[in-house]
Amino acid sequence: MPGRPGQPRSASASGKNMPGDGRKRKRKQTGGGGSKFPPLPPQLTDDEIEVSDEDLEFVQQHQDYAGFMAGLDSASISRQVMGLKPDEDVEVYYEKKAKRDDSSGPKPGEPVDDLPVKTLSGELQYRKASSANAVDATSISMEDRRTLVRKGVTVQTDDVAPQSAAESTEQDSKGKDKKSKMEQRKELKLARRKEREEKKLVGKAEKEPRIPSIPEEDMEELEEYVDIEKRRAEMRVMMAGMGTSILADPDNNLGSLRQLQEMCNDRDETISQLAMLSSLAIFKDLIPGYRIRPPTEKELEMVVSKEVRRVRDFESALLRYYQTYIQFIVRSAKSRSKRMTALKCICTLLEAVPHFNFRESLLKAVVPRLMSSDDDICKMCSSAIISIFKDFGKHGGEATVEAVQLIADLVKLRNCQLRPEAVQILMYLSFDEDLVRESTLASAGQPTSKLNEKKSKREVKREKKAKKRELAAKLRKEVQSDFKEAEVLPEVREFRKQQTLILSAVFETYFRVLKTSLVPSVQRELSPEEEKAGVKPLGPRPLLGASLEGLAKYAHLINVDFMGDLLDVLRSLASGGKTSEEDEFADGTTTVWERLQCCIIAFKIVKNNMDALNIDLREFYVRFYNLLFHAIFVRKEEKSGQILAEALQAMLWEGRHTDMQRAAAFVKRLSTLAFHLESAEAMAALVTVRHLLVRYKKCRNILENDGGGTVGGGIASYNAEGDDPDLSGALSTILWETSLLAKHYNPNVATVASTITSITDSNSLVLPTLTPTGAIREFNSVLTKVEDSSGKPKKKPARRLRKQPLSEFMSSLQKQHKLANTDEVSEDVVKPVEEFLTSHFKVMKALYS
Amino acid sequence: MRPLDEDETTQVLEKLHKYVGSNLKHLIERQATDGLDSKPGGFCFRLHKQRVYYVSESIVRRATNIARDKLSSLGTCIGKFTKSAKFKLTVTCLDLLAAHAKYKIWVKPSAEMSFLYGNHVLKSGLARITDNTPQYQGVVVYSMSDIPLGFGLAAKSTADCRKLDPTDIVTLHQSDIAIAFPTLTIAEGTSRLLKRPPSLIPFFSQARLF
Repeated sequence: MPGRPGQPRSASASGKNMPGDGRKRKRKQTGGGGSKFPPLPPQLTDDEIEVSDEDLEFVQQHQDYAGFMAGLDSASISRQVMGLKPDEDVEVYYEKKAKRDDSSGPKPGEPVDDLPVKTLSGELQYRKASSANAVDATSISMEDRRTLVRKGVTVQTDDVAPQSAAESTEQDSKGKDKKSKMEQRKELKLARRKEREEKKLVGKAEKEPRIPSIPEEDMEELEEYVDIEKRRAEMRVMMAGMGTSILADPDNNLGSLRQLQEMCNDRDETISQLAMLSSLAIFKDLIPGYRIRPPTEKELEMVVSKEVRRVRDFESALLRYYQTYIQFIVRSAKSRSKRMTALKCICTLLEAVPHFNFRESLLKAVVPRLMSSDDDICKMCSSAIISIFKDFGKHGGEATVEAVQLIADLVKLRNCQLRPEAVQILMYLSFDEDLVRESTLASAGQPTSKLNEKKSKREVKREKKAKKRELAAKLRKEVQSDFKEAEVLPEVREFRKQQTLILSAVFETYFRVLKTSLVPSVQRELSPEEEKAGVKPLGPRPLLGASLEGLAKYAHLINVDFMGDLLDVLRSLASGGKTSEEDEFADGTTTVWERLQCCIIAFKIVKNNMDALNIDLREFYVRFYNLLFHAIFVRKEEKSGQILAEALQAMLWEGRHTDMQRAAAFVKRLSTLAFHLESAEAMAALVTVRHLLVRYKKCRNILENDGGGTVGGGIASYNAEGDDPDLSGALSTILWETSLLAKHYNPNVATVASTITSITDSNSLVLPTLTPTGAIREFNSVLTKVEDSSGKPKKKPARRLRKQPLSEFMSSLQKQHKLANTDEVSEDVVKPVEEFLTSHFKVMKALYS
Repeated sequence: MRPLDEDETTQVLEKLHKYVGSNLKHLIERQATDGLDSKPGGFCFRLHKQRVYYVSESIVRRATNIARDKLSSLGTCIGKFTKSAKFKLTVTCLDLLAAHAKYKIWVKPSAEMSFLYGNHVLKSGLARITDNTPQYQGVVVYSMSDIPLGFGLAAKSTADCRKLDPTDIVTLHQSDIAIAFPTLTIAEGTSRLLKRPPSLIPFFSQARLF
């Protein structure tokens, strides 16, 4: 028996090597009462000894040898061995002995009353284990204690699994409902998870006592810790028991929920959290698929059948418990320590049972946490709300309306100083497109009443018939309305109403953000404690980007009446909200990219409402024309290329019709900018230029204009820095940029540039398939591979030399020069230099001569 | 031929401002590129026989050599003063307005002829309108192939245009290139051309009707 406390060293060794052993050992210990003097068996009464057949056989075979035993005087022997008085019982002696040993007083943490606890399943639970351990803990050496700590803990954690396993088998044998089985599994999982957590904790705790000499205070702490762990284990077992009993028979055992809720209020936070989680699991399974409506007074007065009464009682009890539970978790979501667990409960409930009562309070707890500075909390809350948005079939859309309205209120309250997530989640809303159409509700025909003063007999007869018919029609109508009520699907009109409510709340939020963005705001200073907590400062307009994206997504749902106002706001946002040109990009105004986005969205909105009126957004073109210059010089963001390409696509690619002057101005400016852009962006710009030139024949004047002139309708000279594309006079200039771009280091850009120059030559034009956004996407990723593709076998080395950028070429030249290490420059170095420079400056000379 | 006095200048500029808005500045400061002088100089307004001309300075200098009664016209005629001393724009200023106009409308090909015969532009004929056009703003009317056809006043703002019936008036007709057209064609004796003016309009528009 290596596990006996009498041999602590070997026990510790085996405990370390074989953790599974612990369970068996413990069982034996609890069964045998594990005292300090084990070698003697006197505790066992005759009943307790199980005599097997083998034993009987053995005794019978060796009867002769055992004969002397019959004549033994056990009383005198025990007196001889232990010094017992003749009238004293062995048990009494043992008790005394134990008392003598620990006369130092009761141990800390030792349970005061040793009355057994009756669990829900009706089993009696004795506190043997704890008392035995407590006795051991005091009477053995320190090293033994250490062993015990480990052993005790493993035993506790292991105890849960077998018990719940046993319960589950019991349940399975009953096989009454699936739900309880599922719950069983959940409980098991929960228990295992806890086990793992505990083990981790233990692992940490284990390291501490290994320090050779442990001071006394530490010992006390350790003991306390052992106690807490023990209590937790017990509580956990109780929770599991309660859970299974409730789910096995919810009607009768619902009262256990109260006990569970008391556990939620436990001082020990771990227990409280565990209780919260187990209540969550129980509620998740118990809650019916409908909303419980409290019976009216009239209904209460009526005499109802037994069953109805039972159901009603159950429902009201469940509702009561659920309410207290919700109140508790909402309250504890505010506390620091239990916050995460409580929020997890709230979010899970929102995801699982959004249709049920008290959803409002759950939502009210979740929505304000969207502005939490903690990323995890924010993420959790937003995912819960997104799940509400996504499966509105679960709650019939009501929760969505409430959530959206709460968000709108939050944005209003915080004056748009929020994390962008709060508005980003609105993108997950879905609207039924068909509902926008006018629903054809057949209006009931007006009953025509004939008031004839004189009625012939025949007429009277007819009238009677008509009355009958009317009655029948009335009846039919009633039946129809009954059918309608019984229909599962919510009525179309109801649905429409909901969607309207959602939409108005969403747009209210968006418009509010836009409106507040108009005012050049000063960034809110962070308070010192916020800075300490590592809170990221929100930008001056944290919600603008998200709102613009949302507006673009729901642009087709905007009422045409709002369009004018919306465009006004976007226009002023696109121009930075300021009229003076000097401090156009001062602090507090919108950034270039935000302005570009405003332009894009204006175009998207107008495009989606094209049936109403075809509008020429001149102002936005002018803004865009100017922003193009700034786009190069302002610090780049990650998405800048993408935004630029989107703007090109929305404004120049998809636009149905533009002024020739304007188109030419954009052609000219874009090809000028292509010099300064990265190759992917340059690609997007050039593709747009090609598209414009292919589409508008008049603009092709710009390709073969000899000596300027009056083609430009009155404006005779090109003004490169002008603000207005219509007045730039681009038609009276020439597009010399393309021929220079044909020598671009990126072969793709060079190809596009050369196709632009040859547009007029080729009669059969194939419309380009590459769009600006497509170009950005393709060439941003391809960018790294350009070097490989430039080295195609068909390219001659001489050409490749020319494609090298000047700086690169010079550096390679310097290297060569150093290698040669001579004062006079050798012939083979000079020749390529000359070749390179002549080819490079030939174009320049041609341009400026 | 004389420069405009202060009263006349205000009248002319106010009228032009109705159509080109803040681009009036560009119109006045515009630099001439063609001309015989090495330094062509800018443009200016001149009054001659109750008509106002938009002329480059080099031409003005040369025109001073011609007697007043012998000089029939110079530069571009943009309008005339009526007997009651009110200024009116003539269609000949269309090129100038079109180059600097802030607000434009485009008419559908089916509505081009109607406009050229002097009718107002109806909602049904409206193809496209500049965003944010205020009511009673001077606008230049274009065909769908981007040729200026004339000018007029916006009867409704852009926002109001959305809700109009197809038969409601969008733009009030003031002047169009067909006004000049009949006189020219009749002079040439080609009455056949009368039936299809739009195809010829580009030619006349480019050729500057003065």
